Amino acid sequence: MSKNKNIFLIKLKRRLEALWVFIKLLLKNKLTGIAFITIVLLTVTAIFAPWISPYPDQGQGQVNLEEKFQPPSTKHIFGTDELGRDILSRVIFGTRISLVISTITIVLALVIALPLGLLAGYHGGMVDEIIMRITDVFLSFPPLMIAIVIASFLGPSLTNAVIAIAVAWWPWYTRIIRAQVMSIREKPFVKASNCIGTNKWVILLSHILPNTISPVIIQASMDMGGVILTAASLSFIGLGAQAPTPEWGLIISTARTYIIDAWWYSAFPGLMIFITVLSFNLLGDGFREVFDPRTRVR
Amino acid sequence: MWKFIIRRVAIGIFILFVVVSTTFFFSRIVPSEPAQKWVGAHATEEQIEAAKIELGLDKPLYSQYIKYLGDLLKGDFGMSIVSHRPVSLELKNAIPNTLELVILSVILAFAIGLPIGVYSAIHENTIFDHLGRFISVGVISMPTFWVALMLQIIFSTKLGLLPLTGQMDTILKLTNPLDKITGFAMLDSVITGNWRVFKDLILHAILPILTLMSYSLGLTSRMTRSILLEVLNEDYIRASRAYGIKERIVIWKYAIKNVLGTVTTVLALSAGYALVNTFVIEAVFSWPGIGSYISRSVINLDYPAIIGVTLFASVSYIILNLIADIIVALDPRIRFVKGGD
Repeated sequence: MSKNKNIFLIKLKRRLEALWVFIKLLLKNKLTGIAFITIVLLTVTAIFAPWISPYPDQGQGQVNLEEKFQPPSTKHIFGTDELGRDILSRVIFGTRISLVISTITIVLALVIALPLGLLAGYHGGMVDEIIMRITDVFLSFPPLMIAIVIASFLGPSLTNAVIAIAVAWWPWYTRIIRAQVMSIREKPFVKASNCIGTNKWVILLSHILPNTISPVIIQASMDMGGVILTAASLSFIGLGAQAPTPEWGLIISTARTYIIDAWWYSAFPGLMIFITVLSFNLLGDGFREVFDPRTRVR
Repeated sequence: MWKFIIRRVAIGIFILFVVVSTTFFFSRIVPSEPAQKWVGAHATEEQIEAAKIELGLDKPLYSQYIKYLGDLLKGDFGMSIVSHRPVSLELKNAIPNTLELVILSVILAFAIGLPIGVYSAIHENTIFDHLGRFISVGVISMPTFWVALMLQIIFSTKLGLLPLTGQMDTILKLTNPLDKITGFAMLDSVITGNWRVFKDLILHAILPILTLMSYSLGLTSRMTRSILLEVLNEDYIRASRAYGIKERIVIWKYAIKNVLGTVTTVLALSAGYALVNTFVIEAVFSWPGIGSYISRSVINLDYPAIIGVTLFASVSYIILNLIADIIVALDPRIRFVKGGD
């Protein structure tokens, strides 16, 4: 028993060391480092939104009509909106929504993609052909367009927006998983396992699956920015979150009406989207640089 | 080569067929009560029943589907549930306005993005290069609708230089009416020599074009930079440099040829993205194109209109993909193996 535990500890230590090396490589680039810190800060903001925001009640929708359309000041750093709510607080609560829905969307896309990718890559033949042709159709269009069309059929709500974006995104992951499965299927350890008569499902789930995960996770983290943008765009055209949810895209959509009088109303929430998406994209670039040996040399 | 093109066209038609069918079945599954909308909110049961018969909703699904396919082949997208006008007619009015924006923004993105990318690559790892890279990542990280609003705030409400919304001044529309020849407003105003209107059209188009351009610009300059860097490492470039050929000629005559192919491909794709972005930003600028049209239809659940715009966007996108593929195929370095693709 204690021997097993030792092996586990050694394995864990090795994993952590590898992770540390990876993070060190990643943070070599200053921009990536800044992006990484920003994302950590954003996550902290999202988790502790009720404690960080100056007016947590207003962040969640409480109206304060006496102070409507206040320009940015020390009391309201980002100003207030048409119902007198503190925009900074709304934006902070929006961080929560954006990070949560983009994570759910990507997980949902992976849930769709994983079985299909495994099946297509491992089984091959007709099944593979059918799944790949379906992904072809999806990959022929920009994800935003697919998401808009699906969301407009499903009806406007945040849940439907999440479903729509996940449906637009899964083919990318299916492709990656399939390619990964196909290359691992041919590895000697899988062949050996096959020879000693291991069950097909055991091979698939405990030998192949764990080895497909890391490229998918990398791709997913690079997609976070794109998913956040898509979700905000859907909310902006009225196909996502509904009032009084403090979703960034929705806030800007409402702010559009008051563009002549209150510039701060649309400026700051948009700036927040920009910073978030930029950080994720820069981090994604950093990932790519670390994993692509050609760029690492440069 | 021809075999390749025919194959690609066949795939395109197949994809279009899938889109046509899924949008049809989607629109029938979703509980939207089109008959109810057709006659209005205060209709009686009989009126709704009559509308169902008028719209053909009483027939079985497969015969509706066949009729739908037949109508599409004739260019008939059905009637808009809200405006009671043929969708094809409304699309015909809206499409040129959108294409004007997309085409101009892509051309400008290419004209500006290419030199920036080249300059970045030549001056690799200088401040300009880092700045250029940062801007090109930054530009694709900005929500387009926000870019639109910020441009409006800066150039319209604060500086008062450009009009806030619309395609053309309403008063000018009455004093100097524009004759419709091609449907493309700018082109028409040039043909008829209506310069006052032309100037007004340009002023109105600047902000939407800048907005649409930003994404393609980032993409083009990034692509140009990374491909040129690869090309500049190749032996033939080193050889021409060794011959003492001027650096300007090495880059703009020899290296650029191997960059253009990929960049044009990116451009074709970014035209597709610009088209989709009009869905989001046209409403901001009250631009009378298909983007505003689909935003309105989405809110009213006007399915014939949504399907109409979807099909138009799909066809354009498939064509753009085809163009991108053909450009790649034109590259003499890619030879087609007989029997394969």
